[in-house]
Amino acid sequence: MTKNYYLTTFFLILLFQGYAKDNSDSPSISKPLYQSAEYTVSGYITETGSGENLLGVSIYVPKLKLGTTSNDYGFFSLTLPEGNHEVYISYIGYGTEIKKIELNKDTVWAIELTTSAESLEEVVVTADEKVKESKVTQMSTVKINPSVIQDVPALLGEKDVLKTLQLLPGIQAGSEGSSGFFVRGGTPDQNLIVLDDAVVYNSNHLFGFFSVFNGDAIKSVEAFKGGFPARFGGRLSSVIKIDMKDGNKEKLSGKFNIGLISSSVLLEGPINKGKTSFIVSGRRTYADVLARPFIKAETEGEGNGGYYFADLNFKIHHIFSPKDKIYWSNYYGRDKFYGETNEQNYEDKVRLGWGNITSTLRWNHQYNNKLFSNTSLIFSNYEFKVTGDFKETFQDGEVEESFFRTSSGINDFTLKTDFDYFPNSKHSIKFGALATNHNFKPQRILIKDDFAGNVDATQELNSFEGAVYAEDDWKLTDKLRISPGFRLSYFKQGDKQYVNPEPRLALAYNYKPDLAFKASYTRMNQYIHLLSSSGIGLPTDLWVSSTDRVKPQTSQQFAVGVAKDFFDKDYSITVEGYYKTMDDVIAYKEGASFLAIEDLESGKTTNWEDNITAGKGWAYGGEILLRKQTGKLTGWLGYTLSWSERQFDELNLGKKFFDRYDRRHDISLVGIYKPRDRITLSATWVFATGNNYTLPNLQRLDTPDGFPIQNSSNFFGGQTQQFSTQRNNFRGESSHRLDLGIQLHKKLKKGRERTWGFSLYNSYARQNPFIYTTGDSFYNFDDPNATVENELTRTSVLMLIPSFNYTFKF
Amino acid sequence: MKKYILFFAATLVIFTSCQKVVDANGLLDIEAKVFITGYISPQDTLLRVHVSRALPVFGTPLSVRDQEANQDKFLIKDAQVTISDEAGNSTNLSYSEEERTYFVDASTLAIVANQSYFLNVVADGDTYTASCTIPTKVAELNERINLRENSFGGQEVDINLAFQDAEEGRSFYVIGGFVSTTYQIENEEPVSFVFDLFFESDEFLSDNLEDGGTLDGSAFFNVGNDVNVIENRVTLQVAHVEEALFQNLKTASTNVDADGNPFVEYAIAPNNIQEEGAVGVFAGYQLTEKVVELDF
Repeated sequence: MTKNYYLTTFFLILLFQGYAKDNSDSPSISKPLYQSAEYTVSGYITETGSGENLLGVSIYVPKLKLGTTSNDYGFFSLTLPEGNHEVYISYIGYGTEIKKIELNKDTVWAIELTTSAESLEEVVVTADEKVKESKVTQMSTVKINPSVIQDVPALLGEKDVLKTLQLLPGIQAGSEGSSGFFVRGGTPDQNLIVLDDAVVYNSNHLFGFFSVFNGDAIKSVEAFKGGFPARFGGRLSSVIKIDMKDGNKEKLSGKFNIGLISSSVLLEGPINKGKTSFIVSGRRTYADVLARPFIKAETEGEGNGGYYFADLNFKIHHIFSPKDKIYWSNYYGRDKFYGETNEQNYEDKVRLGWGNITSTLRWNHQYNNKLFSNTSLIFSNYEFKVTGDFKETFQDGEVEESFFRTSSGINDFTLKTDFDYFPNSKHSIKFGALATNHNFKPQRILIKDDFAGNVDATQELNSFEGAVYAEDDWKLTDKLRISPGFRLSYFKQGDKQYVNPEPRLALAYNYKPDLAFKASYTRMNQYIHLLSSSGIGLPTDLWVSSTDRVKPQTSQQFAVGVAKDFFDKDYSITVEGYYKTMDDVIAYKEGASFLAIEDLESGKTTNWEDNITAGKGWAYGGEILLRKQTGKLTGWLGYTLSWSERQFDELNLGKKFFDRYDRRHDISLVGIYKPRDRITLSATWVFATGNNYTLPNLQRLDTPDGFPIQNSSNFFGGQTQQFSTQRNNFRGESSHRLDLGIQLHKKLKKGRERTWGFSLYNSYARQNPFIYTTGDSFYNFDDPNATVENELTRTSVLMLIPSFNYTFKF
Repeated sequence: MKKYILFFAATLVIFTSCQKVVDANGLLDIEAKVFITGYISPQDTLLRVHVSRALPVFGTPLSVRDQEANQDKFLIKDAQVTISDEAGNSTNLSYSEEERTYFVDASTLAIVANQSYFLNVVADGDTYTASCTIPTKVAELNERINLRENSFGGQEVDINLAFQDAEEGRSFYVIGGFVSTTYQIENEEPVSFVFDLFFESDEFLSDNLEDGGTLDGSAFFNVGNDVNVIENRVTLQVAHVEEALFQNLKTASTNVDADGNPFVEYAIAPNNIQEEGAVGVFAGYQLTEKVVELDF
């Protein structure tokens, strides 16, 4: 452990030393190559009224065809030739600001953009209004405006970031209602979900029905499905980057929302006006509170139980100077089942809880008008915990007490630094490094039981993960842009070390101003893995480290695509194809499972490495996304055609098989219509080919096999025994549903606003498959000729679920 | 804990779900196959091979009352079953109506450690083959037995069974046993009862952590304080088995355990029958037993 801390420090000192010269007086950086002819415009872009930094804002000079975008902290730098220029600054939902400048020296701008009602109207949009798909080198990336998350109809009114992402091509939902997602044939653990730089290990509440991200506090959501920039690593299939709001620096504001299953509150405002701001938001479900009287009545006061989940986001932002800013972001989320029995001679109290805690301290520093850095100190924790206390009083008055405490989890401590360097108008360079200490506790058990014996055991594993990277977005010509990148990742667990180069390349060729052909190649490594026996995001799923026996997962992805913008109508269409290979992906061996509830209570320990096996994966397909982001009607149509296959020597008799979530067709149609300020109508329609399941397909006589040792397989003898000859041998029926939503807004005095929201999930009550089970058909036992057959039963959930919510903003 | 989770899950399902029987035709189609199981060992007095049909789970109605008729749908009584060794010696197995399996006296073909054997089955006009190799025998079993009074006034017997792994690459073991308790009431003949001893999660062991190390498993059982018990005898068993046999038993065990749990991946049984049209396992094993008398 200590060794890992030294490694972390060493790693970062190396990096800092390497760039220590990047101070504001350094002539090598601050003086551009063509200093006599070029000057730099730099600064920050914020929202009027709140001071919120705006990221991804387009700063563009149409005449020169030069531009840039603001980074994650609202900073931008654009180097232009001396002279008079018209600079367009635009952002969806904020309209366009045109600034004229006579550039004869380096200039600093503090730009404030105002939310624009005009952007909701059917206006003629120019090619320069916002960042267009055909204008960026990056491919396989989708940005979601948080307002879309608020507008899209949601299950039980719970606005959900991850479920909104599932509506995009290439990002597929798992089982019905689940917020778990599968990107381009990958698995849920191959998705890197980062909230303000902190990795979120379990993104689910309530067994995956809801995600942990409370939409109220979110500023931006960006999903990378391929063509990963070198600054991202550690997962094979996707990066979901979620940024929290910084908090209103000008005035106290907030909102509360009352829904069917939960309520939330958000409060933000200045601590020191213009300098320091805070934002806090919380959410809790209350079904348990409402059900408590009924449970007590049902059990005559002898029982109590329930479930809830809760989230809390808290962030402070402080501006020391225009060049130095800090952000402290925190997230706490918890799911909890609880139950109590209070009988005369018996008492028990059991708790089952799981959740994440993240905390990120970030320091922004602007060295000069071309070099910007962010350094983050990050803590991330996930814990799953089960406790039980039991007390029994016997007739002779003797009291027996016992308890168990068992938990599993992961703690990460990360130090990370990222630099943005804009040397001239042709290059936009990012470089940096990170060092993470992973502390895994696959199982911690403490049992006190006079009858069965006491247990006190802990499995613990420490590992170190580090990386350095550099990437450049390079405008080679007016038509050709290239984004080469390189990441060198390092992992150490015990004496085992892995060093892996990860080259990245993306390029875009503008055949026409509004039409670009794109291609990308990425190589990724993943050093930590999720063991999941269900694939639906149960809290018992376990994060584990690569070891000398468990190699890192690796992937290579090739993607090609076309991006076309229709400037006059503000539509965009992207068509992409991808081919991804995955090596050393892991899965449970046949028949292996881990951390079943019974095992937790009995305190059995299982070595997870014994239970897993490594194999290969292939994923390939095509995606189409037709999108409209401005005007009264916004939305998109997404279509995915895909294949996802696996091969493990120790699974399915070594034969290749289709992954459980191999999905041939996936269609999403999303529409948000705002005819007036007072009303928002929304609808989503989704269609998906059925998931694959492994079901018994043959039955044999259950006759003695002659093996001399009785075991649990031959102890419970029946007439026949069923078995399966192939993994994922059964493709379920296709699913589709239509969700509808309406929001009625009313603006009140002093800028207040109230909104009534109504939604209908699965409005035509389609019985989509959730699980399939087999069982005996009904028969009449009195009928001497009665026969019984196995039948296949489909269980469907979440049909025609109405909900409403009330939101008040102030 | 489980009851609370089940309660919650049930509530969720009741309020929001529905179940419907769907037609499996076209969704899960499979042809009937020949099902073959044969486990052979030097300790056997009979060489057995089970040959029958595996019928589709869906679309195969079975009589509720007429078990004989049901069995007839599965049984293959006219197969030709032959086991041969590397030297070309062979023995034919005959069908037994009583056992509903094919067998022959083990003296007709010597089953020897480290030797390969070949199965040839002709059934329903097709020929199916498989082969196996007999593992070595575990030389010695070591047990540690602790007795302690249980809350019922009797004794809990905790058994730890240990043995040395064979240093020959990957090895697989199945462990178990049985307990024989003999009672004698005054002036009556002694009566024995036998029950199986299960090693729970330790019943399937392998040497994937360390080749040649010590493997062990634990089990327990309770005995009453009946004064008429005159003998408690534990027979400990360790079978060194081929991987296919190990996986076959383990997957069946897992699927039995997980029966009805839709969130556990159904395990696929191994198949070392070479030809299409048949599934099953032909494998070798060696059994080591040790009898321990318990003295209270």
